[in-house]
Amino acid sequence: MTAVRTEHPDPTDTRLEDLRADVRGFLADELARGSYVPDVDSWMTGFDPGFSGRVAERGWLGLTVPTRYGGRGRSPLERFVVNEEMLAHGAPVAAHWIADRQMAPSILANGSEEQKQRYLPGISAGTTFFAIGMSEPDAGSDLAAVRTRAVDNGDSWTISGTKVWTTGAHLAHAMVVLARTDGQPADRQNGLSQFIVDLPHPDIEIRPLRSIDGQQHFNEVVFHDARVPASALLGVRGNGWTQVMSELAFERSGPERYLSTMPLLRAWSAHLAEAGATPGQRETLGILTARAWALRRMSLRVAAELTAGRKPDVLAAMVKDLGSTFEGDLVEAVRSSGRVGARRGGADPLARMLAQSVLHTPVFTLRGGTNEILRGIVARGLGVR
Amino acid sequence: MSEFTAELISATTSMIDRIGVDLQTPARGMDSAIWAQLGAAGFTTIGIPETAGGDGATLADVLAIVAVAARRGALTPLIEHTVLAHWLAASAGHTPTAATASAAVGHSCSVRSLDGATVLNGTVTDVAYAGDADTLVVLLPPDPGAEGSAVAIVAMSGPGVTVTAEVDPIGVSIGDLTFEDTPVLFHGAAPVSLDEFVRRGALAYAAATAAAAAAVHDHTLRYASERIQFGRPLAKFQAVQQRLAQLAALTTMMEIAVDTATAADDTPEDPYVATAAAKVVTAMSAQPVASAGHQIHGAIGTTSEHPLGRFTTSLWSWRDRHGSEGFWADALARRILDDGADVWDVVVGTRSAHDESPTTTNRSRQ
Repeated sequence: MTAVRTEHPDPTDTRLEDLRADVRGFLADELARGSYVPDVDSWMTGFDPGFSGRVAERGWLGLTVPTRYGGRGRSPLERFVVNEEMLAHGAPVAAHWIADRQMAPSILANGSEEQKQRYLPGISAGTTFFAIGMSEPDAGSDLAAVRTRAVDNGDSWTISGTKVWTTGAHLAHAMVVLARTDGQPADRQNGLSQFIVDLPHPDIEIRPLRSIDGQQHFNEVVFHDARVPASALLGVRGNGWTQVMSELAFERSGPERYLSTMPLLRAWSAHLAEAGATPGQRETLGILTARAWALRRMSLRVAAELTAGRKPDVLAAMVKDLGSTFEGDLVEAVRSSGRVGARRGGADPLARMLAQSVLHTPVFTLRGGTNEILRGIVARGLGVR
Repeated sequence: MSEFTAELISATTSMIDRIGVDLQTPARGMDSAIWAQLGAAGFTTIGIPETAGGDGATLADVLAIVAVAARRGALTPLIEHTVLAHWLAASAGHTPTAATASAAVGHSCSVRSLDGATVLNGTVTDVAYAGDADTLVVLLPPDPGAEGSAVAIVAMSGPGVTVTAEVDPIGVSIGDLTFEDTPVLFHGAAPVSLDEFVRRGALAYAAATAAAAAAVHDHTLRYASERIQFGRPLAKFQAVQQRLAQLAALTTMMEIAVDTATAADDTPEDPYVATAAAKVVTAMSAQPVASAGHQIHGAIGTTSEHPLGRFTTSLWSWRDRHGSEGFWADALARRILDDGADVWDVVVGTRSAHDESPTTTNRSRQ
């Protein structure tokens, strides 16, 4: 079986619980002074540089980044606690989310010394935000089909092509780009490389893509022969596919893969506690609670595996498949057993979060690799593919 | 896992494999030869606290044996006899000599003195291995307003015992018992609450359910890799691969949930929440797992002689023992809606967030 036995992660020794209490205190203060309105899926929609800056001031960004790069040199479990509290309380963490979750570990693993010194302090200070350029119009689930090209000019690279579904590119300071540097499209995974490109850039056009919730989260990013310095290459030329895959292990198993709609469950539960609950509603609440409990333990197991230096990509894919399915199931369970209709922008937080959840549910099982792709990864791990 | 646990698992595995398991469904009954061997090896009386005369083996050790037996399809009353009856009797300071004991909660039972003897009256229901056991250990919860549980032990062959035994979907005896002035072999106070008893039973059956699910996973993966249709193994079809992946994700979740709940006493996990959540997710995953196993096996998996049926009927039987997912979901809802815990704190599920609460005692409806 894939559930390798490891030391039981100890997420709750006193130090972690003290940290949890600190984060809750901070969030309570922020809420009290009206700096944010709790929302579902806040890691994708809650873009608030001011909030991110205050989180950084408390020392909660770049937690696992070494102190010599402006980080805090703390454990992945401490990072886990900070992030899960932010998500459960619906805090606006979108501005720093991708930089902190994905780019910091990626740059630490693959970046040059110059890149580490250039980007990591800003990520830890909550002043450098990132976007991810992976998908393309003709390369969605089939990521190896990317057609964006980077041509080597010796002292620079010229990038041409189009990226889509680029969350927050219009607000980010930099973006990581997967492009073909060598060979032909038929070479698939071979010949791909990663670059870090600073934004804005005169030859990079960022066009908004409005979503069905009426907001702009995604962009289409067009590279019109955009010239970037030779130092923009991230990691090893031609090693892009391998680098991206190990990055995705971080992207796929974190608390945002099962907690995106936790604020809705908390709001509904508070409503039930006040208004009274039917036996059916009690059972629904209990079942959703148990599923979230189990997913959290699976996610902690992945975190422990990553910490131990292993590659839990199959377990991470399972967490995201089950977790993102749960996020949508939660929405439907609350909707069908409650008596609250969905209303966009409504005054009632429950109705508003329900509307936002319904509109965001399709994306839960698409982003970070569709669930069908993830099951393919699991099938490969089972040895049948 | 300790070295001792690993040795127990290895010894149990070779014992079961040496004797062999008849996997036809419905089962002809419990695996008496395996049960006798486990007894002779001393494995059926372990897991009792040292303070009660035990040998130092933990509940986790016993559950490791339960899982090995379940994964091989061996039908033994390890949970009824070892995990529950022996532990309950030992907690009351008694060491039963039964070859096969079962355990039950006597909600409607009472003891009284009759002609200088202590006798038991009342009914107990849903007693697994009712037709196999020679002894029954009954937990007598306190009357409303009173405190402290008691234990009564009776011989199944004793006077005034009426057994109405049928079989569960596996083919194992399950029944209801009525006592009319049945003399007790032992009666005494026990420091075990109703909640504690039900929780222990629920955790044990969650472990057994997860192990049966793992067996369905293993059998199904092997079958899909071997069975050729349309000129290639079933496992080469993407639709089948997707289903296998979902099956594996569920069995992995069940295993991690049970693993966490079993270790809860030695970690900051709230043991009550952990057991409740593990029982919910194992019970509610039982049918999706059984369904995937049968769908991929095709019609052959539904035949009496095929091994799959042993494990799917186990899933369908065990998910309801000591509380279905509905029962335990309500236990979690009680924490949130009646005791005022934040749902998020229950998900985090640490003892510091909500200390082991005596207020839930006597409120179970099992």
